[in-house]
Amino acid sequence: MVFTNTTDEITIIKQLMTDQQIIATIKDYSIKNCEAALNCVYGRYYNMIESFITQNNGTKDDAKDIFQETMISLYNNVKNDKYSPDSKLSTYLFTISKNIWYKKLRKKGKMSNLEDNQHKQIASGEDIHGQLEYTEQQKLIGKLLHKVGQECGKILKLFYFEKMRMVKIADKMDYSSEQVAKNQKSKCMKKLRIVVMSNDNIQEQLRNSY
Amino acid sequence: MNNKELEILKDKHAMGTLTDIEHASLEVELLQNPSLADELKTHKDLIKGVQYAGELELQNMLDKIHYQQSGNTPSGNKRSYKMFYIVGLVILMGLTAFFLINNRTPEEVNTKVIFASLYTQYQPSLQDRGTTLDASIVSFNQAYLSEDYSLALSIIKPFLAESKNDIKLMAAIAANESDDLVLADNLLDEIIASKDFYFVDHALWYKALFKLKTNDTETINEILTPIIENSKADHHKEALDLISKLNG
Repeated sequence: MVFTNTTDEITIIKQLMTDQQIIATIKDYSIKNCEAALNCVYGRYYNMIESFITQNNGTKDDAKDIFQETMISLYNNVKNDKYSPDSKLSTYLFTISKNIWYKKLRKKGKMSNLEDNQHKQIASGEDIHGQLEYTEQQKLIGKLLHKVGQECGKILKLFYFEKMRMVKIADKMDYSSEQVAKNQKSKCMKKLRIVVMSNDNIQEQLRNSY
Repeated sequence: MNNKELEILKDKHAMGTLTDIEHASLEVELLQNPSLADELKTHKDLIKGVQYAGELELQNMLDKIHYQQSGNTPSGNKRSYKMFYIVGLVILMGLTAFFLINNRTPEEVNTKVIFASLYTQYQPSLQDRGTTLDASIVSFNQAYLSEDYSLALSIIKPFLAESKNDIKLMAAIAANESDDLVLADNLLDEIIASKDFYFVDHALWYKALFKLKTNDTETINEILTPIIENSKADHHKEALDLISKLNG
């Protein structure tokens, strides 16, 4: 789908996919093939979140960051089967955004006047947050992933991030069988291990952590 | 337990999806092979690293969508975007008049204006240095912070070979300010080659800025690609902004 900045096209995109179709797309496909679905979510729900943030001590830049963290949470939760199909997507996104924003405000020391119900909202929002935490070492490993080559990087991300089944990875990568895909994934993990172990920065962090 | 079965358990352990029976099997393996504990930790770190890389890719997609959609916010903002274009047009006309008067090419004026709007000297964090400082580094820092870049460069030059990346970065900036462009470029290349993940982004950014300053814009896209592809990189937003301005 070619996207240009016209009001008519945004309206059309907003109408193209239902919430269920958006979730199904995220569940079944990789990032590149989810662009239309992610565009839908953005077009449909971004303004709601931006309004909430800007009316609660935030800026438009804050709104952008919070919404993107929310989208990443949604993506992870859908991939890990933690998204409940009973909840409305708007409510789901709003709850996560509110939770993330209140936590940030609390960290900045701007939440001294939080009411009891807002504290409870933060607590309940923790359950559905879905955002992964990473150590500096793990972030460095992520930045080194490109060194294993495009094919290996793709297989590993499809399996460990996109949670794609091996049979589907085999089909997507044009391997002859699921077993070939499994073998290739195993080789790629070994390759990543070698890259990581030969990186001086990682070695120093490993020495410091053990 | 064979290697394939163990690999599956290691994956499940890393992703937190072990069943009770699998958990028990793994515990038995750990009792028989205590070194497996380190192996499990390493395997988990590798998988988390891959997941982080996936999140970076998702972040880049979301940035792209945000910039595509940012021109279509409802009602009131369209007026402000019209004003933005009108102001932009006026500035452009002023710049055109300026370069005509001063007999310079539009590209030269534009790159100098873009450089001036984006360039700030790197500010060191002296708090990280600890309590013992070499006297020369102290003098170098003082000269750098007081913007006496020629003096700063003359102080630090004999010690550049054994200097850390933060000193090299500041020396590169001091060299550029003193018009020693070759030294500046070499120092930045050394930082980039060191793969110091904190300073590489800074070095790439300044390398691009210095190319801009000399109107050598052809390689800027290539230099900034690692920063643009990583939404968490330092200077990610500035790099996107610069590329956007250069490409019109």
